[in-house]
Amino acid sequence: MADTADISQSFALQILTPSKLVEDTDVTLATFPGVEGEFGVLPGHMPFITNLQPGVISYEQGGAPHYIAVSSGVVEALPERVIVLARTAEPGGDVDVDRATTTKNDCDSQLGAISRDNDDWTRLENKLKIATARIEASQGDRSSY
Amino acid sequence: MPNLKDIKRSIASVKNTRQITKAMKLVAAAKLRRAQEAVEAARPYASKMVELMTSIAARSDSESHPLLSRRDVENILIVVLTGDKGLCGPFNNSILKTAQQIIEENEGKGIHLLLVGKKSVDFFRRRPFKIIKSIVDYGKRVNNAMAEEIAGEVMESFISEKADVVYLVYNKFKNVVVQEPQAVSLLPLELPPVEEGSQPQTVDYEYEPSANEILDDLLKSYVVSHIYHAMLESAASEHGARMTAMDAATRNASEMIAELTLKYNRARQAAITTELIEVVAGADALEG
Repeated sequence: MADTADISQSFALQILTPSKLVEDTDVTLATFPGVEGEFGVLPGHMPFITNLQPGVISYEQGGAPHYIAVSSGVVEALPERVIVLARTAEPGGDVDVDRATTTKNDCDSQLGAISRDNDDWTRLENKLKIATARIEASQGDRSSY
Repeated sequence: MPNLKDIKRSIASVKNTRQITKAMKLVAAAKLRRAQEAVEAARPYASKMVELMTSIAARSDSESHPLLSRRDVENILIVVLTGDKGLCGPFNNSILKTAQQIIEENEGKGIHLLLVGKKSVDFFRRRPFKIIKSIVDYGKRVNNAMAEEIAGEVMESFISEKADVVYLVYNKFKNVVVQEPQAVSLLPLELPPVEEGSQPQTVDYEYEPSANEILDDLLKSYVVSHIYHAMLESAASEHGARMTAMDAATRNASEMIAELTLKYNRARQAAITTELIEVVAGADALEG
């Protein structure tokens, strides 16, 4: 009984990376860091495809919030399911916070030393965004968005 | 007559070898299991990727994408996936042979190589081909980052027209005993044919930023994913081949030990007989 009611209220969320299936679950709401901005998906979403930028995917499962740091990839949203093909995807709990913090600080100081038109700028900025996303995922902290 | 001590020494030495081959077999078996799991785990991403790519390509002007451009072949690039180590049966040689076959078929054209594994680097180092990159000691780095590195190099070569076609030569894992050397053409990309009336085609997506940009990303990821898959297959094949080779070596060593032991016992018996004869003959001489 409860199952039939759930179908209209939830959708399947799958997060895949080249090396493994990171998440396969039913959720009622999930938010994604799209290249054109953060967006949320509810059941019955229109068919939609977008690229991801480094950031945090968040959703609730069994009453507990989940945060997954992704670097880049693509999201396919359909009314009944959402599939994320991510280059990397790391659940917040798995993040090595110390390493991410070191990377973040490194990138910060290196970015401060070079100008915007340097060849390395985009690469470093991207690395910084990924490190920031990983830290945020680990803290479940979304205040900076 | 063979010296007893010598035989004993050979037995000990073969026993040592057997211990090593046995250990290598067990290690290879454990690594093989992990490699097979990795191949399995990588499957959902790859199949979803192809599905999505096909579906988007059908509804964008995919023809114009640089990774799909077909031109007259003057230069070819061959990506050769071998291992760093030997002792794995025909694993490395069959790949090198396949690569050479392609080279012979393309005589007169510019040959460029991207080599992965010490075995291929050793083999091609003294040959007159241009090696654009070689990766060695990669055993522990069979991951997506390495596939990205190779893919980046390959796509750069192709787009800048340094290579008009790119082949990927690797071992496909059939089962523990059988590896199939494969030569697949990696670029230009060939999109899977769109099946008539297949379900995904009916979906009309909204795209952000645009279908072409997303397709561009997907095509690039597809090249990476293809190479990553080949790397995983190759790793599984290598461990399978090594396991089989070491199993055979262990069996051979056991047979050799049995033979040597027989020889040793015979020699010992012969020595005892000789001694007895000597004693009896001595006694006879005294009595006489």
